[in-house]
Amino acid sequence: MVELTLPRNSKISGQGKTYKSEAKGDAKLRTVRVYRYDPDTGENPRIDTYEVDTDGISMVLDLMIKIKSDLDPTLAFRRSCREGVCGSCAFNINGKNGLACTTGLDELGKGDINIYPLPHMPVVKDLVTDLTKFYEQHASIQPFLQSDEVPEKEHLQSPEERELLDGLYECILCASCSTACPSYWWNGNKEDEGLQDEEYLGPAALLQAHRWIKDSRDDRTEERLAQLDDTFKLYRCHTIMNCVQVCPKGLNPAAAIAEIKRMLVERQGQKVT
Amino acid sequence: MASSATKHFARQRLTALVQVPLTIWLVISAISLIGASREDMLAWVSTWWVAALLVAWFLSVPLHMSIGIGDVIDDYLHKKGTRSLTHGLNSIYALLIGIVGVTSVIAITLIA
Ligand code: SF4
Ligand code: FES
Repeated sequence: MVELTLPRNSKISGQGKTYKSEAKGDAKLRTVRVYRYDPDTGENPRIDTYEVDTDGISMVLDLMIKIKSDLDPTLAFRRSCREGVCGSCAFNINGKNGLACTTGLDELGKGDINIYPLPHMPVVKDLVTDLTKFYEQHASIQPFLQSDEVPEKEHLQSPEERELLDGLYECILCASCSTACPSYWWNGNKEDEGLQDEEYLGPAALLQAHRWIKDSRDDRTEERLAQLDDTFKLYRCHTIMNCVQVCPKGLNPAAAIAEIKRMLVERQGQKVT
Repeated sequence: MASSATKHFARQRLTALVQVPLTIWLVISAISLIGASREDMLAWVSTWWVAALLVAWFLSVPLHMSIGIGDVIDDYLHKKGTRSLTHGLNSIYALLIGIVGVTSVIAITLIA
């Protein structure tokens, strides 16, 4: 059965700590609550509270870096480009998945800020999640050009054909969409029976599948569609649309999935006639 | 399961589409029949086109229902064995409703 409650050691029951910036002058302190988990201590996760002077800080990532360098160097999180390109700083910020580096403090209203790891993924430490499964799902759709032609120089594409890839190629694999999807949560690997293939691939992998299906230079359209004609891999999408809401690049995985379904119905029709 | 996935999806949409006009018609008819006598009801059901539409309704609704419940089963039941068993029970349930519905319409048409 689907698990409706958290395993005992995943419940947030640890005793949280509080850290406070030294307020300079009349600087206003902002309360930031952060999920903490350290597998080495054997303790349950806890929520630590940081009272931070946000003077001169505009983005959530800057705030997190300030916490780490000024208040608590033990806080673990991933980040790299700090400009919405690498996809490594995705967290659940005030209940919504997104990139810390492109989320402004002004977008979060006046209240406290809550930062949690991406939902549903196993937590390695604090805000660092294990994305192995997510990357495996991406790899399973074979995200690379497969062409029968061997061109002298390069595979050519008209501007119109190239345009078909807009809204698909921009994905930075941040995992915000997949980990925001309830269907992805409960149709993750139905591993208890070792049925590795009975799982929903999730919006990110399916968006990329669509990106290669649409690519005029690729010759594996039929094989790609055949692979997705599956109750679990594709059809666990119930058009919940959380993916569209959270994508920090403004992409629309739900539309890509709907298009794959449409192509599959057409393909089925062609087979019958 | 793999090859039937798209068939299921298409059928689910198709039966949903068929039900929109059928169900609107059925609800309007039911309202207009409020207070009708038993004889009026029998006569209504046994009108050939009403009987035909009712049969269509009793074919499409259980099919649509079983596909929908099948989706819920696929979502929530993680063990393959339990899942297949529940799928089986679901199909039998839908089949029974279909058979009872269609035979009732035919029986009424024959009686009236
Ligand atoms: S589609 Fe958007 S939310 Fe999903 S992985 Fe790509 S960039 Fe992130
Ligand atoms: S740090 Fe690279 S996307 Fe945020």
